[in-house]
Amino acid sequence: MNNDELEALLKSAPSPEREAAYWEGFPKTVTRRLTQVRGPGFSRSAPRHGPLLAWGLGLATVCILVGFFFGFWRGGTPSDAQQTAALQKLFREVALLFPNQVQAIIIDEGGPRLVLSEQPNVPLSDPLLVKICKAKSCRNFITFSGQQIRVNGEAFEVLADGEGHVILAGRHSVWSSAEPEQTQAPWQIEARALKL
Amino acid sequence: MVVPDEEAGWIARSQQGDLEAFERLIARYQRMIHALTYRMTGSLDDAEDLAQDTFIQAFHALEGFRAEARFSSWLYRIAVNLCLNWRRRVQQREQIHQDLAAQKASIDPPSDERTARVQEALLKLNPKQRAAVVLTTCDGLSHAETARILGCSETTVSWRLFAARAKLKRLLNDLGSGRGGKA
Repeated sequence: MNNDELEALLKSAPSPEREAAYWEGFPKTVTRRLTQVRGPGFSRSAPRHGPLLAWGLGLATVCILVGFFFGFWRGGTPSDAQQTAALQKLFREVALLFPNQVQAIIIDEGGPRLVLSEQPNVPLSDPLLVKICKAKSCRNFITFSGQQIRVNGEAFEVLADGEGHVILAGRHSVWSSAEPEQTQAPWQIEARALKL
Repeated sequence: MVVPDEEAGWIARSQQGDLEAFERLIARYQRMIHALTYRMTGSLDDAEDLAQDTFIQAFHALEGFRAEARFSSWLYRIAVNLCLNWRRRVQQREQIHQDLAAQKASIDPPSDERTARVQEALLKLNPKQRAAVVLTTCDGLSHAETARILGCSETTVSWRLFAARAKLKRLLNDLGSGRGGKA
């Protein structure tokens, strides 16, 4: 087989055709995802953030994080449902301010911290809630599949599989919510999708 | 037929956050991006997810788009990078689960057997070689344009194509020159 024959063969293999309805609906599917992340208040002609808005954004972020910490996280011992609702609210508010930039929100005894990417390039997916406890000290992460978190200096890649299980893959250990008891790490780990 | 001025208008309006204009751009390029993501993944579902992610990432990055590059090349670049990252994640997942059977099951074979063989052979290439083949041979881009999209030199593109062709010829030899065309 020469190069021309190979080229002709490759060109003769089309990618599978989809129905017309798929192509008609695809642009709307994308823009629906865009508006979901930006929230219902997103204006179709919203101006981009200017430098003057940076101060406002920063202030709003601080207010959200401080409000969350003192208003909820330190306000007694909430139930799991209350805690989840508070984390969902926190994530929604932060994601509205920084669409596609939130890599993780870390919440521990020191309060909530935000990890943002410089560019809005964090792929859209359902946020995941990862809770890691050692003795009585716990750290919660709201993050996404494909992002990295650090625990005691070790980096773990957070992955979600098609069945909704969460996997933490580190250099020395792997944990999966499908088999949580099989962890070799000296921590207690819980992880699940944070449904919005 | 879309005239460049019209496309430039859609881009400018999308840069201002106009989603209707962005939908026009998506409609214009959706087939091109789906074809690329399918050839890179071999999975219709993953191709769809990656195509959606490509346009979403493009929308957020549109502010930085300058008309120095063609819009299609700029989109290709985003899509290829997403596909290469997708490969890394799948490989990591495979390593963790040691479950290659599940990965094979997620591949959507085309109905035509000859096409299926070609797609299967493409998936056996190293992802960067595959990207070079898909962009140059399947999508007809020049080596220079492919090099810009892949962020490497033209020499690297040529070398990847050389290596990819050698492997593809081995894998698809019985389909060439009309021999066993039906495979």
